[in-house]
Amino acid sequence: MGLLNRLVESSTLISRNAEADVYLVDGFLGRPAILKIRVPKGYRDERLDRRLRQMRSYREAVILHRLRDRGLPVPMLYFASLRDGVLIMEYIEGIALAQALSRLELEDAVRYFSILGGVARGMHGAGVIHGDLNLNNILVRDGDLWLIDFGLSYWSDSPKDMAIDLDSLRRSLDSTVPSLAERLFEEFLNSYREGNNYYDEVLRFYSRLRRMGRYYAER
Amino acid sequence: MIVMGIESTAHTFGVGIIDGEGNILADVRARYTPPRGMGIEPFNAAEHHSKEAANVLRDALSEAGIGVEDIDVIAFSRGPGLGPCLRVGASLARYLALRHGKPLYPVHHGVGHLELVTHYYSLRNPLHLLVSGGHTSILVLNECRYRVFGETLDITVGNLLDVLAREAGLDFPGGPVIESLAEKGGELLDLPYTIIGTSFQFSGILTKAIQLLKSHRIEDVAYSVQEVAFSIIVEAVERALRAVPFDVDGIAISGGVASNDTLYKKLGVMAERYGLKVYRLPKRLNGDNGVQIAVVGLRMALAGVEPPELSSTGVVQRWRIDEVDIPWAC
Repeated sequence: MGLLNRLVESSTLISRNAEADVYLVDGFLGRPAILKIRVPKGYRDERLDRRLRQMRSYREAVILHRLRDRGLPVPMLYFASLRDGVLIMEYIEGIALAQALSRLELEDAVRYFSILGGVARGMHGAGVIHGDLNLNNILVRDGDLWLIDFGLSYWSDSPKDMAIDLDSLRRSLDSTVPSLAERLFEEFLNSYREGNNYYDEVLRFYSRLRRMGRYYAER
Repeated sequence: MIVMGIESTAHTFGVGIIDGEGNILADVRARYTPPRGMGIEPFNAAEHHSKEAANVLRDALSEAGIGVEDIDVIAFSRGPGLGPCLRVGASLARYLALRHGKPLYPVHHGVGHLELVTHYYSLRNPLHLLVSGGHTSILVLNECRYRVFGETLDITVGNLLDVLAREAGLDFPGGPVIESLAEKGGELLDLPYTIIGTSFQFSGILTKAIQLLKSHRIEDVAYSVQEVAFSIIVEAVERALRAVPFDVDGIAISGGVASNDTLYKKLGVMAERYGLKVYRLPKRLNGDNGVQIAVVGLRMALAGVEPPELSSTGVVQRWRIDEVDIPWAC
């Protein structure tokens, strides 16, 4: 891990969160890059922790590669050391949609959700479930949008699993921007449904999932 | 101002009395304990509450050194919970309010857990982890309601521990028994780690753990269940921290399972990384009690909320916590 250590030392920590410690690498083969380390979580039994970190780094690496290959807007993977739980990927200069929403005009926000619907459809079409599709895992800048953080992602072409992404997104909207949630989600669905053979079935499972939290009036 | 809170959502019938600053004047409870190997049977629990209600009320008044006429506001837990149990508390509350002409506030039981810890430590707006037999949810006050940032999509963690204990022939409630057994375990058995963003599921853990009871030491099963279930919860809280659109002033843990030291310590290890403190009530206030209901009643009275007509104070067995308006935070 000598080379990696040196790389980390010359980088700036830009975010420390549940997923990983995220560094901005000044120049990786001459380009600005993101270095993501899944650090051990002290609150977990280390046997469990190691397994989870390795599995998530592996999945994120393979899935980023697959999605980028399909032309979907995700960071390009530059380097992966799965044993150390380290990924190096393209640096996206954007801000999280969660932050952006507080400053955006409604029509611009609506446009992003329309784009997002198409991206989610493409991702699901590629057989990938994001697993944590929330407003912090969507980056935006000047009308462009990217998906990031694929640590909880997995392969599936089941509408039941696709519905999980819709549910996560809707929950994220409901808790973060309650007053805009309905309108933005509707826009998301409008573009998610276009030419989507799975749509009806995904929506059926989605409405079932919606009622799975505690104490909904009817089930 | 003197506020009385009446709690009767499940196993506990409680009466709490507080003053206008929220100081606890009385906290009296009677708990229904199901026979070993059984869960709470709603009608038996309700029968227990009916028999105990008058005693609990009398003891609470004498502990506070006041009479019913000195009470200014009455609050009761309207739900969510077991219908037969809820009706005992609601009936007593309505009787007292009518008989003595006092304003009556129906209260959401879960909001009571959250407000009690917020009040106790004078927190501004913490991230809440509510862990009990009724809830396992991550919540933050945002736009006049407690918004759910993550929650169980099947059973609660309290349910997981209670049912596991029941299947192993241990006493109710299961949490404390499982916790002490886990301290003697250490082998990590393979259990499903199901986290979906900031939400999660436990029923897979329960099914697998019950199977493992046949072939493994109960201590190791207890250790593994706690390890996996609590790690999931703490990870979900960590993920939720990032999702909250503003800074929180700490992490508040409440509900019966908050008394579990293993969970509390894990949460502390995570929180430290973000420079946050974990706030937990003295253990006796984590379990269901009348004080938590009184605290919400006090908040409503101080916020000038109009008490509803008596005809619309019926109990609600299923009641989402994020459907309750929080007028004192608007």
